[in-house]
Amino acid sequence: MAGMMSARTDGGATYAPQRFWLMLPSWAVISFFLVIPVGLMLVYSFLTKEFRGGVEWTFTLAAYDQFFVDRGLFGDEPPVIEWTYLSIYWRSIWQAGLATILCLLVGFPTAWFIATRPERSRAFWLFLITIPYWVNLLIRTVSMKFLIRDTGPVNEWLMAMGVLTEPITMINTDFAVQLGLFYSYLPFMVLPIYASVERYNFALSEAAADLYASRWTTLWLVVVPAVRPGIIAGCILVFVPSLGAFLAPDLLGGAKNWMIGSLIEDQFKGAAGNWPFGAAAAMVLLTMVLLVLIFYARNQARGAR
Amino acid sequence: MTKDTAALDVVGVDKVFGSGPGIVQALDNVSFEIRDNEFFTLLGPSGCGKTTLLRLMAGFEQVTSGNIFLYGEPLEALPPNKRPINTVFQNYALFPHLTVADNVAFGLRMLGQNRSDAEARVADMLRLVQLEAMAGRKPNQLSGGQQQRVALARALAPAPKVLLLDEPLSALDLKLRQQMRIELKQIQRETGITFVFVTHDQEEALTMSDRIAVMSAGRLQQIGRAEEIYEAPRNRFVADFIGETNLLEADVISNNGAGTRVRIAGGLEIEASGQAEPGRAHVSIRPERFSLVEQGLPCTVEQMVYLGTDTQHLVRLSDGTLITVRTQNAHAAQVPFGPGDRAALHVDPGAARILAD
Repeated sequence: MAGMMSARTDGGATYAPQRFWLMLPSWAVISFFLVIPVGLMLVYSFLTKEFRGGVEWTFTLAAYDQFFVDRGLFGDEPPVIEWTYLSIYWRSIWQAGLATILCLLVGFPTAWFIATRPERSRAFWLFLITIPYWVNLLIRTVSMKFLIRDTGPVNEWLMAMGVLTEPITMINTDFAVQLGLFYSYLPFMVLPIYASVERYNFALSEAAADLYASRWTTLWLVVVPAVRPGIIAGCILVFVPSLGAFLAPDLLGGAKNWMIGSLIEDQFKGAAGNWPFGAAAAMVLLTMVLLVLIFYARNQARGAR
Repeated sequence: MTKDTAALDVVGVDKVFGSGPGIVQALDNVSFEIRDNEFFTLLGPSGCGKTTLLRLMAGFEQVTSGNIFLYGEPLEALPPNKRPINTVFQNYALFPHLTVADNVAFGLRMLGQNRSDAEARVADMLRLVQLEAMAGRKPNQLSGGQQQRVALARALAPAPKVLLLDEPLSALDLKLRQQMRIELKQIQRETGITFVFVTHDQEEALTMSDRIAVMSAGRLQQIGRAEEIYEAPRNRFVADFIGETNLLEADVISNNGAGTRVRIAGGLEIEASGQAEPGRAHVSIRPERFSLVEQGLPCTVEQMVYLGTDTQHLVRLSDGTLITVRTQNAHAAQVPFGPGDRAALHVDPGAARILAD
């Protein structure tokens, strides 16, 4: 330690006191908004539940036990894996993954389109993308519900045009949840990809074409690697909130199509009122997301080398 | 038959950008031939249409009218990736995520060449541009000059029929630029590939090119070997753009078959090469074709600039005309004139050239 300090000759020692004060705001923000809340959840997940919300300060693994292990209705059967919550997680991952892919398929061309407009009109197109998001997410999700319900405009138009003879049920299905997720998080895909494409050097595409690459080959071998940071940022920004979303599954998916977010929300705000279990469910989700991000970061580091 | 042997045959090419009030005529009825194995330069100021012409050859733009033929084959229907023409881009456009070797191999891979042949070819190309040691680096780990060489190797690797170079040296510093001029010329001779080189730098054009096409305002002004363009500029633009010159008004006195007798500023009567109708005309006389002497056309020295190899005098004739005179410093002892001195001006016989317009 002493060796490290002395190796740093001039600046390090001179600025040490100032550095403490200069870093304080950052540490304060990180502590207040990240370390303390997450730490609190971590602690709660190991505490005993109190009836109708709240916790008792007694250490227990009950919340995790409830999440992962099934001991039968009265807790006296041999323990087996509890699939109820894991299947909700599986559905959430599946739905969030699909939403990410759909957002990417629609978001990439959209971002490309905007970034290749003349500079003056780009702001206009970006504005159009963001307009719906000035409205509260709840309102937008409810309006989506009205759009796709059995007597909603979509079914009525399709019937009026003679495409359908009776309405198709879209509400309270996986499809409706997917539509809600896609609609909610599309801009989070468009904006980072747009930022990447805007910085893309289009001479690279010309160089690829000049060197006998077709359009598709150019897209895969030159464009995608160049705008990869934007694509990855967009995917993370869509996948992570989709995984924890509760509005779309609640309002559009109904009781049968719960996702992780709905489960956790129910523990804190809803009927279940089991804080430690909600905290444990959140911790499991957080651990999964972190594992994915660490895996990605290690991949990145390997790619950069 | 001659048409078929031309590497590139540009026939009556027009290129118009935009429409309505913002319309820009980038190229106006341009026609010329580029010969096989030639180092051909498109020279002109920025906005003259030279880069547009290069992009038409590469296929990044489409002609508005006219045709371009590659060894007799019309290029119009071919997209850039189907043309056996490669480009060295102005800012190199190297693929940032690929190593030097992978950049150079890109065209070969796209052409479906097998791995071992491609590797051998890449090694050859890197040797040609002296970058064997850099094969595993990424472009951002290279200097500007090295990136320029990678771009050259990448474009040469697929052995194109024609190599297009879009101001490839403009981002390099002077020393490197001078060195690259020699290397480019050498590589062109070694590979036997037809080079089409775009530049606004007349010195670059004069030192490297077999032939030069001088362009201005979307039109071809003159085409010829370096010394033809320099010694016998066809019009005022070419005379002024290539090297330095004194553009003088002149009265045409007589006109015989060989040349024209003109009276220039200060009442001096000289023979000028080229033809002109009786009346007014313009003549060009290069600064190095004047000399300052004791006896002759009187003048006053206004300025003297020491340029290393040369000394340049700006002198004023009795009627107020300013003339630039350039003297090699090998003879410095013979030009003892400084600012304010009275001197006399001598013109080399055959120095004056009549300009078309």
